[in-house]
Amino acid sequence: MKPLRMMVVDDSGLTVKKMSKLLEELGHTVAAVATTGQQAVSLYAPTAPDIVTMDITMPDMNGIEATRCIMAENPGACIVIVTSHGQEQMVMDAIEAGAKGYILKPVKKEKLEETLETIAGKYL
Amino acid sequence: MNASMLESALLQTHFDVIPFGIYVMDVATYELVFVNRHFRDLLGATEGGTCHKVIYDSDTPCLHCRIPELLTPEGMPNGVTAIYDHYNERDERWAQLQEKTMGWPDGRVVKYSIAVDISELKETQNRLAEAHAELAIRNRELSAQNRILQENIELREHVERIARHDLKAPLSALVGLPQVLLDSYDLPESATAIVRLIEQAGHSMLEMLNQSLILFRLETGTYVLSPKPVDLMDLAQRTVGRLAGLPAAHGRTFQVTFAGRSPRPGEEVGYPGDALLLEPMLQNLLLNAVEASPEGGCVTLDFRMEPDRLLLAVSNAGEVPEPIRARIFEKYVTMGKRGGTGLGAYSATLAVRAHGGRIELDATVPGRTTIVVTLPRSGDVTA
Repeated sequence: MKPLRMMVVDDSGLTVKKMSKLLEELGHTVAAVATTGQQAVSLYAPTAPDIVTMDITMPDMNGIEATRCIMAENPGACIVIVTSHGQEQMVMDAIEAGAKGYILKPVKKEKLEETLETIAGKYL
Repeated sequence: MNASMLESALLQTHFDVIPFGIYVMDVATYELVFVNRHFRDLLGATEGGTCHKVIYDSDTPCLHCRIPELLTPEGMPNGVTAIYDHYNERDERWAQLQEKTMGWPDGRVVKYSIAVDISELKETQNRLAEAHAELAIRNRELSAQNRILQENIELREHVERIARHDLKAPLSALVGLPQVLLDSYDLPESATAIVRLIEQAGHSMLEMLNQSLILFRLETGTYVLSPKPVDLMDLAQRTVGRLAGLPAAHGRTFQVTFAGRSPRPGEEVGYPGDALLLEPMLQNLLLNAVEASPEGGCVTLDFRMEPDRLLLAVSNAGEVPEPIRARIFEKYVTMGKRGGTGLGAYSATLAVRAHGGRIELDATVPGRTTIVVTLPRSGDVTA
């Protein structure tokens, strides 16, 4: 698959580091990192990433709300939720907000690769 | 060793024998007061550091911290036990945490937390949640596709409705004016023939438009059947006469029979129905049959009258391909013939249903295709 420009959104520096490493191993570039939902919304347009990985639990604005805001302004945005929350309602809220993928932590490289490939194949 | 130190040592000994990780922290400062042997083996000597830094590698208190739920408004232990699952980004493990506040022997209010590793259990649950999410995403995509399809269908119907309405007005000139030309001018024979052709073409187009309007009313459920006596034998013979002149019927023949024998002169097959639906129904079934028939083949139409029903069987040589047999009466399904719209059998089906009848494909005889139409004779026909 062609290299993607990625944006990683997570308030945990550890996760950002691990996710960036995984993405780079898969041949993609991390074009921007946001550590809050609000920051993700502000950074999305100027960064114009191919795909965003979005955490849910973050200070100021959570990932579902941030997804909703980004989708409202950019209906073609591709956002994958990467979270530790697997509860049904949380999943449904994220999908309803416009997420195009949902991965649970700890992130497995194969799952991440498969999800990115599916989204790139369908939408990019 | 004073009493408080003794009590503290006893507690620590007690926590050390528990085979799960336990830490005790000062609720006011987040300072780790004690970690049991299990955690010590994993994390080393950590007392004095803050819980969020040592356990979660975070410089600030955790967003999920439950201390506020475990204290009275005065900051004292409230007896509540918080139990929840938590994912630790530092070691990428899942734990079920059981937390409670208490008074530590040295007088501080502390929270103790027992962490049971549930990573293996979570692995299964998480795969299930991911599969659930994938299904939800596909459902959403399917709904979006269905919505677009529905919008396209509605748009097409809207355009068709307008086209039908708008086409009828100019057609009236095409149908009416040729007669005026013929009556008012002394046209040479060749011109008269051309004018007649124009008139016939206009009538054909008008008929098609009327059929199309009826089809629309049948599809949208706005058609109401008003049965009138129809002689189906006469309709069939006239339809066959018309079709026999078409290029598609070249080298093929038609045979209309009653209960397998040739009809007697003037023999009628009376049926209370709508000729505007029954005639095109016969035409569509016979046309499909002749188009599917090999050269030299004979298309037969047999009427059979039973006490409570009338049977029509249109038969031709050739077989409907197996993959489309089950869908042959659906809209836009064609048998692969060039220029086929897939509307003929569908339109015939709607006409049959409007009379309360049914239509079936009989492919039991190898090498032959028979369409059997059953029309009720009870008189209780419904649209």
